[in-house]
Amino acid sequence: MKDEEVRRVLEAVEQGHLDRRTFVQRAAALGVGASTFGALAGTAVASSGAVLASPIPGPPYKRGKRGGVGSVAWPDKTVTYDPPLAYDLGGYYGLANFFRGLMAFDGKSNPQLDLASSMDISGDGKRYRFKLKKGVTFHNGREVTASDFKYTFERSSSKQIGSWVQGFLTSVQGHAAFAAGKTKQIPGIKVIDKYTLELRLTKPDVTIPGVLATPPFFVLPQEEVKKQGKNFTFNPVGTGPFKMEKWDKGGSRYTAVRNPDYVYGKTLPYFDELDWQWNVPETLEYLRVKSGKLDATGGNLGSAPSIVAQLRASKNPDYKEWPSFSIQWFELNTTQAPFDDVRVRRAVNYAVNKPRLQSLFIQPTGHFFPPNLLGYNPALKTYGYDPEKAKSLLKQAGATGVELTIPILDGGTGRIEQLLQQDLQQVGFKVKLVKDQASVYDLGSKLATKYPLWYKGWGMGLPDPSELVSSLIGTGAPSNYSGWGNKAIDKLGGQATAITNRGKRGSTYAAIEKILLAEAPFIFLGVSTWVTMHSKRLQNFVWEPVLYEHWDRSWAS
Amino acid sequence: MSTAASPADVEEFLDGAARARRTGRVDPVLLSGCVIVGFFIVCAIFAPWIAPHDPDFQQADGLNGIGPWAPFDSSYLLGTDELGRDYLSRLIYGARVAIFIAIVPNAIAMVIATLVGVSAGYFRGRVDTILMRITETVMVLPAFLLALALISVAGSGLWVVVIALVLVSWTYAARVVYGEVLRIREATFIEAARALGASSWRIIFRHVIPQLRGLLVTYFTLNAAFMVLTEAGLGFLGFGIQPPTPSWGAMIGASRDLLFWPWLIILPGVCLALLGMGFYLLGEGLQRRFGPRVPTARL
Amino acid sequence: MTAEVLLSVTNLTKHFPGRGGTVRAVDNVSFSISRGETLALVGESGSGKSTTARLVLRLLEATSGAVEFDGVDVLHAGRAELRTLRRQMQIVFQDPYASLDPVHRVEKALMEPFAIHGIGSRHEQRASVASLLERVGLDPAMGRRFPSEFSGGQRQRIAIARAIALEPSLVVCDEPVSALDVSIQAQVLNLLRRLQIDLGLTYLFISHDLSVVRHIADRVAVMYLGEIVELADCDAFFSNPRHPYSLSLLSAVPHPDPVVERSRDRIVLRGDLPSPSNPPSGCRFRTRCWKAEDICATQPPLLAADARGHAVACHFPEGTTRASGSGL
Repeated sequence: MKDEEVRRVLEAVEQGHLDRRTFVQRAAALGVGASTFGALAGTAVASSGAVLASPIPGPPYKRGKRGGVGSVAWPDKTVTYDPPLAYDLGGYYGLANFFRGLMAFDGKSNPQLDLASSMDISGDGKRYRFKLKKGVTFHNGREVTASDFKYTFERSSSKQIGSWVQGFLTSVQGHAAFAAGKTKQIPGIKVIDKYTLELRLTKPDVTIPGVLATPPFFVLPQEEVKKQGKNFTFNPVGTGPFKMEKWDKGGSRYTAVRNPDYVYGKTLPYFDELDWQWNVPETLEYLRVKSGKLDATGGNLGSAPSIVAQLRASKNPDYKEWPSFSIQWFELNTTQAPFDDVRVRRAVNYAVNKPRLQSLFIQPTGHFFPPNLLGYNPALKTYGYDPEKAKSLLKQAGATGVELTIPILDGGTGRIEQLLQQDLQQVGFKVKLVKDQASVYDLGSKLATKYPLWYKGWGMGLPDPSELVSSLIGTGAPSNYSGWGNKAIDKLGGQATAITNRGKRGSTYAAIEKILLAEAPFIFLGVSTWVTMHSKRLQNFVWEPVLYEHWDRSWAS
Repeated sequence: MSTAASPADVEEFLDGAARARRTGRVDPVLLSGCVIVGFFIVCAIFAPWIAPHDPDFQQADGLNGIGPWAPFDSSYLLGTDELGRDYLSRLIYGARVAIFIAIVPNAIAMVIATLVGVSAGYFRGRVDTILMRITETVMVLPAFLLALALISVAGSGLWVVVIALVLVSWTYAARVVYGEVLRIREATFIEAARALGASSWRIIFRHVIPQLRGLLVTYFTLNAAFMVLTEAGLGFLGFGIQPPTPSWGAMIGASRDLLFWPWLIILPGVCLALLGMGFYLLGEGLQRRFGPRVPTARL
Repeated sequence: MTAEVLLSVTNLTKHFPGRGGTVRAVDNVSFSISRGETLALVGESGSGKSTTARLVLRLLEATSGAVEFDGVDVLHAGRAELRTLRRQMQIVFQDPYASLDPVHRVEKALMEPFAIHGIGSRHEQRASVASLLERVGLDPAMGRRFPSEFSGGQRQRIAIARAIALEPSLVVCDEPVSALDVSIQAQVLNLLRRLQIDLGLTYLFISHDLSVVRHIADRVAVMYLGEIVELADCDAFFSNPRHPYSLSLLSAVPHPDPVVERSRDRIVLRGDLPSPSNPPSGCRFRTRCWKAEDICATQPPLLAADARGHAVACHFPEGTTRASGSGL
């Protein structure tokens, strides 16, 4: 049993019996892929004390007490639990309750083996071979096979589904033709036998393990998806720790029950039942947790600053502030004056009073890359708060007394825009705010036709800088609305996905961020701080920035 | 052959005013309405002189370590908001918005209502049918949702809010004016004017509309409360006037998630309730003094 | 009897569409008034006399018929023509409390006729108002007051002043004293008479009060259910009424001649006034007439004048006309 082997190796590391170098060799011998062992090592090194370093992937877990009902509430309206389509908080961050995939992230956002028992990467980095664990079953009792993964990956990449992850497997052979609707399947996804799946790539792509650890690539039972049709959106059938019991749309909640046949079913999950609620504003979440009616908040209490102020003052041990992968910035329309001039773009970056951002629970790093992300370079010089420098840059650029209209887009409180309004007025802009009933996603690239700048936030789905390049900063990237592009970044970004050496890859991304900061197509703010609160009885409440809460490893005392 | 009661009403108006002049007695309802509304009007007019700070400026020291200053806790008498702006100043400037909203869209609505109600009631016939069908059609639409719909289509902004408020409130006034004109047009003095050769326009402007004065003044006052509260409702939902311009409703709306800083909600709430009550008392007092009960627009 | 005819009304008809059928408020009414004359139109309320007055002034549009005023076709007069006509035909209403706009000062009310027709400067208008007030027996200083500050009689004087402001030739007096105290009535009637003499006015005087009519009228026309049933000189009418309805009206009035008063019988009519939307066939009065016979139900009687010009619409009019005072 390789799982057992891996566990023993990890325990040895944890107890300091193995040095890193030996560990890497042992791991390689066990067939754990080159890009994964780093991740495994990361977990192991991070683990300490009572944490069981074990083959169960994900954030640390401890021995807990089985039984009872755990409850959590989320602010948004939940529309679907179909993995490639879920996007709201309570939907997307609940997917791991019902589904699992080949890989899973650990608490440090590194991919680990989950339903795969091994991952082999060919020497040229263009072939990934996964061996599946045997005996893993869906909630309907059927055993998971390699062809289920092929089905799932093709479904998530298909044009018909139109998922936001449609382009995540572009490096796989035949993906382009399939995505265009020309072929019925992706030939690069190969079912070797019942328990062996192979991905053949057109070029090396080290993001593959991470991609496969995101919920839209968690395995689905083909027959259930077909049989249920639209009902699948609220009657998910997967391999996860919980099974959907009752979905109550009117009551804005569902009940899920423990899956005894879960692949780690001997240990996890601890709760017999999960009470999952949505449409509950953060303020109410907090009040319910405080009165003991709820075990944990789902939304970010940081959006309700008075609560956090109260919690900080009370030194409540059940509230926690977590660094997130939620990037906050203002995107500038670089196609038009005044922001077609890099001096003006730099000036507005100097104009922002960064320390004040903390009152809105933004950690004002001044970076685009969140700390803890590969490629984040703390030594990189960012724009400090320097209104005088801003003014002189504006004077140089001849951009004085410029009028700007900043939209407050749907769902925005307008606070961050009002902060910016004052900062920009201090350096000589005339700033008007307008409410726009459309959201940033509704408007997309139309934003640049209406406004000179707008606020944007991005929670990273794939905790890898490649996502930032391919989605936000690459020339013509789907969520790059600034009209800005940089050939050097595009080139480096294209190369980086093929670099297997993590350190080298990290420095490539650091170089990318350096160019980004110098070119300043955005007003860089930082990352938001995620604030949670849980009930006294809830034990081992874990939050990590990729999938947030992990209800399979919490229990009630 | 007198069929119109309206001259009698107006005489009541004049007699009442004369009686009040003679006796010098003041209706406490009317007086309290005048005092409250007058207070806010003074705040609105003299806001730049009364307000201790720029209402939109986020003071560098407007926040303490864990949030805004609370009332009586610092150099800010009523504390600051979550962005560090002096709350007293914002409340005072908020009166400007409230009074503006109470007067401008209200007056426009009254003018439209008078034109529509008088045209339909005086000319009758097809004009009546068309105008009153339009009025009734707009009237059956839920006022608040109609305003929301308009703002979501047209985008928010002061003048969009004004137009929305006019749109949802003129119909009620038009119905009332219409009913009143139906009575007035039958009055003998109208017939006398026609016998003298007066044109329709002369009759409308010299004889019909002057009879509506008491009604319009009372209605205007009661409708002012409706206007202020509706704008507050729109502002609460984020559909009102653009930030950072302080509007009480928007201030409450923006503080919804700040329940541990309750003054942010309570203070504008008190202002709103007071001004709404002030207009109501004023309208009630005017009504008691001058005329028949007037139905008003409802949220 | 060669006096110039000022107003001539021919076959004037007004039908109001109503729920219970068409209301024939005025039906084929014909009469004429000579310049300087007073014609009284009498009848119960609902008989159509006020409607007739409004048709003549074109405050209401007639259904058919003709009204000729001083040679002008009133019913077909254009806008401008009608405006000129308004200067020459005026009206005094019954209720002085309702006929003055309560929000206008008296001065303003009396200036309005001049303002409408663009006569004189404001200063001249003001002077005219003062003389008008004097003419109707009021202090010109009272012009600053509101109508509500006056008594009923004073208000009616103001209304009269307004009516004569433009020096009209015809004034329709629609029950001008019936809303007033009896003690005031005579004063107002005297005022009307004096003005008639001073200004050479012609009156169409509407009243249900025969003692008032006797006081002021030259000729009398009696209306019943929208029709004129008798039309005669005042003296002839009072001394020798020929229509049974006139007889019944007169029997209710105390006669100043004690001989007549002593000898007269009181006639009390049976039943109520029939509905004008569904008038009886033949003679409209037959349902309440003590003389009615079969012919009355089938043949509507025509208004026929005798040699002296005393006209009556009845199959069985009262006996021969006695010689009476001066025929006008």
